[in-house]
Amino acid sequence: MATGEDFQKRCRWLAEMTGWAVVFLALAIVVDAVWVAGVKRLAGFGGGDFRATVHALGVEIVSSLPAIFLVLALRSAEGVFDRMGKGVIMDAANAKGLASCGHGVIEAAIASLVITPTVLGFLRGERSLDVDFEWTYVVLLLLGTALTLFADVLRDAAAARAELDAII
Amino acid sequence: MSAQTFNADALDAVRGQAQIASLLALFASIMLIVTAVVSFFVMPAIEYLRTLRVEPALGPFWIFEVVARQFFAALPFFLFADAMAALRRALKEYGEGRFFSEVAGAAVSRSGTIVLAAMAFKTALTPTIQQSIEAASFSLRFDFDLFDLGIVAFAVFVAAVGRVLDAAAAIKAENDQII
Repeated sequence: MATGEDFQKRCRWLAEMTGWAVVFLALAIVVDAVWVAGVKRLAGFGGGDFRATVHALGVEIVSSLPAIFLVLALRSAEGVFDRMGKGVIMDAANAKGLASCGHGVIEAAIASLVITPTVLGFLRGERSLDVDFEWTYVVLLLLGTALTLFADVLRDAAAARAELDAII
Repeated sequence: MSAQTFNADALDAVRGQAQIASLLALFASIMLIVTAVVSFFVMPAIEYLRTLRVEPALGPFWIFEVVARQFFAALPFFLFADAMAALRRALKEYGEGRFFSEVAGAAVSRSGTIVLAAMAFKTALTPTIQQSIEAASFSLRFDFDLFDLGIVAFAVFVAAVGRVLDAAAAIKAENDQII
């Protein structure tokens, strides 16, 4: 389905920008985790014990968990933008991409709210369910939920489009 | 089960979920405003009334300075609340079975745009304004992490999805007209 050339051009630009954001965020996560673990090892944290380095790396990875989920969501968003840039708006693949993006965002919000604080507490030796409550995460959770609902509607719209095309 | 029945069942499920999500969005919107007002205005005011102490670094117009600082700190919360209110409008449309309405598309676009504005204030404008008020001269300051950058990119995506929902509404209208 072809839509306005302006919208397509904007989507192509957004796909490119999202792609760069994915690369930048992924690199930042990797560098951050490796850097912190490396610096701690060089500084002799844990007496140069290899397990201490692995522990530091594990803590960094768990701390980055929400950002990792967000990167995966953005990867799906990039795919959706890419197809929209080519003029494909109403199709099952876009609905799937949208749903996958929504799920990624929900996972990122849940990771920020519960998983990361609890696992970090566990790594510190605590045995309790920790919650790091911030309204930004709740906003994110609702936006993710809304996206999955939009995906359902888009799927239906794609079916309506196919029906329309068949009639024409 | 025919495709039509499947669609009707699937959309019924979406309707129910949208009603719940709409209520949650309303709750989040109200709570965001309450949290911002209580933590940025009420609590500092109570603290001041309790101690009657003012930061020594503040000038004679300290009250304006403090109110401006608190207002800009609370602004991202108010914007997030507005974004949730816009999202609620879209979800309410879905909850009432109007899946292909222009109102929903416009509300989703608005929601994404407001989240972008909120993030701009949270990460750059509010820290810069607060720093400038504190230093009494313009000084640029950014306060963001990887997660914030991800949210910005995601908000752009939500704004674009609003346009897609608009297109979906137009196609559905065309479809209904032909059928």
